[in-house]
Amino acid sequence: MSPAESAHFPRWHFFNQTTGVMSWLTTLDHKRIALMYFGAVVSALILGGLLALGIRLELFNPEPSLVDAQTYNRLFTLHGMVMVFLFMVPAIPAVFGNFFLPMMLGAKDVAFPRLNLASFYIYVTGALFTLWAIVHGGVDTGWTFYVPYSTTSVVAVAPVMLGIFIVGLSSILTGLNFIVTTHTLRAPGLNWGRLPLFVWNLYGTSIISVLATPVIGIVALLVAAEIIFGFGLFDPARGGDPVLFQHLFWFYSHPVVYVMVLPAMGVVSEVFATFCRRQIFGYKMLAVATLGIALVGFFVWGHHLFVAGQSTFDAGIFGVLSMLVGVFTAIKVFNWVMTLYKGAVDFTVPFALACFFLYFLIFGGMTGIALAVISLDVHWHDTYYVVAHFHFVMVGSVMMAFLAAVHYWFPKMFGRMYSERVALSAVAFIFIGFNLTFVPQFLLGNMGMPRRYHQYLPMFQSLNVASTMGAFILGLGMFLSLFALLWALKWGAVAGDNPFHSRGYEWNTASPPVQHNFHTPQVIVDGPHNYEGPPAAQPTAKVAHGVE
Amino acid sequence: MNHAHAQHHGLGFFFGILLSLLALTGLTYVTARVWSNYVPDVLHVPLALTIALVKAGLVAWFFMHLNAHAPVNRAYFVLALCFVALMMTLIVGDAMTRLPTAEPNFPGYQEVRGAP
Amino acid sequence: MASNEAAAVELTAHADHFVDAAHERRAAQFGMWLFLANEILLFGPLFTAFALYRYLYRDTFAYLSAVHLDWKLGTVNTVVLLVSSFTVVVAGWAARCRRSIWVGHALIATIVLAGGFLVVKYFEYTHKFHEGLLPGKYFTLDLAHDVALHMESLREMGLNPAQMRIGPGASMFFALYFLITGLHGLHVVIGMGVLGWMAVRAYRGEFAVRNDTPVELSGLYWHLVDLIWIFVYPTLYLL
Ligand SMILES: [Cu+2]
Repeated sequence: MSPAESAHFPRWHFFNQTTGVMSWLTTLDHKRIALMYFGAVVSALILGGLLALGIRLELFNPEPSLVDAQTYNRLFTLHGMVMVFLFMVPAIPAVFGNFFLPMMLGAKDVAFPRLNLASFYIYVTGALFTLWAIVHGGVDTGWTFYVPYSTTSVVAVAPVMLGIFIVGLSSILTGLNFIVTTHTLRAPGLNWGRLPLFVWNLYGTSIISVLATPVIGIVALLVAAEIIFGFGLFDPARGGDPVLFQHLFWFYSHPVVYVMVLPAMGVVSEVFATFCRRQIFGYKMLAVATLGIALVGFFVWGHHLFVAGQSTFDAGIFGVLSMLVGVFTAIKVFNWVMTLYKGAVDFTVPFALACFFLYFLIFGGMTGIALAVISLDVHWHDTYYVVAHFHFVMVGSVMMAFLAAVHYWFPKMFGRMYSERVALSAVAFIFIGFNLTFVPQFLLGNMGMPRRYHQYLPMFQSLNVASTMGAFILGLGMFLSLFALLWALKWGAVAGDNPFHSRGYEWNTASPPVQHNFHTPQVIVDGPHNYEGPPAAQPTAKVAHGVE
Repeated sequence: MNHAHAQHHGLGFFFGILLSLLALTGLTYVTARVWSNYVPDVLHVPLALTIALVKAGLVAWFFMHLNAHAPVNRAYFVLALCFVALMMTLIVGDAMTRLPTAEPNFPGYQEVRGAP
Repeated sequence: MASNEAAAVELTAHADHFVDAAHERRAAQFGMWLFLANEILLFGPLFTAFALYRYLYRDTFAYLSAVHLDWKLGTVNTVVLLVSSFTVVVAGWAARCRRSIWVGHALIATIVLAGGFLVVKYFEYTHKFHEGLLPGKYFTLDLAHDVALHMESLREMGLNPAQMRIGPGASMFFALYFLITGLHGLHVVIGMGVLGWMAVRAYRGEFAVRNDTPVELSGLYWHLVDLIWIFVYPTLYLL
């Protein structure tokens, strides 16, 4: 879709209403904080992605080639920690949640702007500290830092634990802020039945952030205390129970999968609604399923412990409960597909990405259901099958949704339009590369190739070569996408207020928005994405707003 | 507004709550230590936990004005407690149903047993 | 009456994105409760670990709790914290009545009580250091000898050491003791800092002209410290 010819770039917007470096570093504007987060998480993504390419390059050959075993272990640890804690967890909520939650609520800002800024700085501090600690300490525990290895390893794991605690604090504060904002700052007329689905999904995410993150915080501190003071809490020699660590670790780390996936689902709901020109089929069920996933996500952590010595009783309970997540996810998938059915589809980059999301979610989700079957898990546990499964869910679907969010909201955030053709080809590279990377890994895992190994049997080489080639195609697509967007920042066509003719509430303002989001106070008279009849509310006053 | 309700209670009322908290503290001590022989073994933990929950409820409901705060504040407080209960149930339940460790001769136990 | 008008302006002051001061206050209360819910989940794993190891090493835990933790000190601290919770309520009450000086007095009383709590804790800790009752690899108590020493008092308590499986998990008990009371103690110290800052503001007379939300929120935090202790007391000292 080409932006309107007559569109002109607004004179005043949140980029230029105040200027100077300090106006950014001390800003309380949620949009600016979101953009600072954007820079931070994209840096993390690039770092994590380059590490992944390094890992794949090493696995090109069955024998050690580029790096030694120890370095390899450090590489995948750094890759995992950067991607999980520094990219995936904050990616969509902290960037697009921060930017669009208040706008979707018709609010001027989040409930606690100072806390919002603080949580950004806590994130940056924690991220830099964690990176320093991993690199300096040469930590090679993997992102899961399982005991007893992490507590007996000679490398300095304790500082990393502190770093994770700090990063966790940041996501707790963001989640807290979002929940309060959603409860207290909705515009008049915006009742819970009219909330955009992105807001519902952010809400579910925030519940998990607030109630699960402290658990990983205390687990990280316990591991640190174990290393420093030798408490023996997880040490069988002193009567400790290592399985307790895994219980507590996954009490957080399973729900955190939904911290990543729920916002992705929210993005996709917005994208489908906009480009199918209708509200999502079964809006209420989708909202309920969102909270259902957030809640049930807390009941299933034990499926990571099937072969860890957990009792068969617990394993049975967790195995059955894990299937429940599939029920809620299936509800969502059916609703999206029903939205597509007979929808007036407008095939754009974000729409393509949302469809890819659906594909990866179904594929990744179904393999997850298979893994929740205890007998199958015994075979697949700690093989590349698991690696492929969670990369399908986290990288496949979440990354697609992240990119969909970038391409969907880019014109709103920056007021300019990227080249559809370049963006679409980048996305095609990403899709093909991703499949080529991880489909072979399913096969490898099923053949018995264990994860996290530096070397492998020569019989696995052809599939590993395919995977490595896929990773480079994926990387190429990512960089192409990045350049397309960077180019658009400066030279892209002026997008106009609503290039996609979306009826989401966040489009009811100029692109880029003004400092307090809307020219006029918002009053909501209808649900979002109601495409019947004439548009309900468009920006009324287009007067240039000066500095306040 | 929402604290108008809380203001119905004077300081005397809150002092009464304090006295009941102290009384409950006494009760939990007495049932656990002084009358412990009259309390069946299996009831020791549930009883102490119940008293603690009642005390916590008094503190939350009156001292922390949960009675006057928005219902959603209550909901999150209860949700947090539920999640702790969930964590405890499934983790301790795991140990209870894991046969080797539920046995009295857990590793390391034998050496010490003969000692006293 | 200019000062009264100024006071009225201060009382209704609120951030731009809220409708009025009451709206902002509701948001702040809710935010604080979410933070407290998060704190509950921070302590949850420690209590879970305690429950797990108490289940696995029931007799050892019962023995150590009865013989090596002083229930008197634990009870004194419980009473101290409960009373301090009450004084915080007094502070909140005074703040609602805009008696800023009384807010200060009540908060000072709270801080003094909190200090008392920490002094008692200090004596408990040094006593434990002395006896070698440290967690993990620093645990130096000779249990067999220790049980023999305490035969008499055990019988008085109605415990029969011959039937008890005392031994494994002994260092675990103190690991959890120090972790739980340590993290709680850290919260006490932070709480004292927050309340101290509130006391300074109160003595400046701020709460005579400004709304009492800060006092209420820091009070909530202090109550949570008390709330956690309410569970620490029976789990560590009595069961
Ligand atoms: Cu999981």
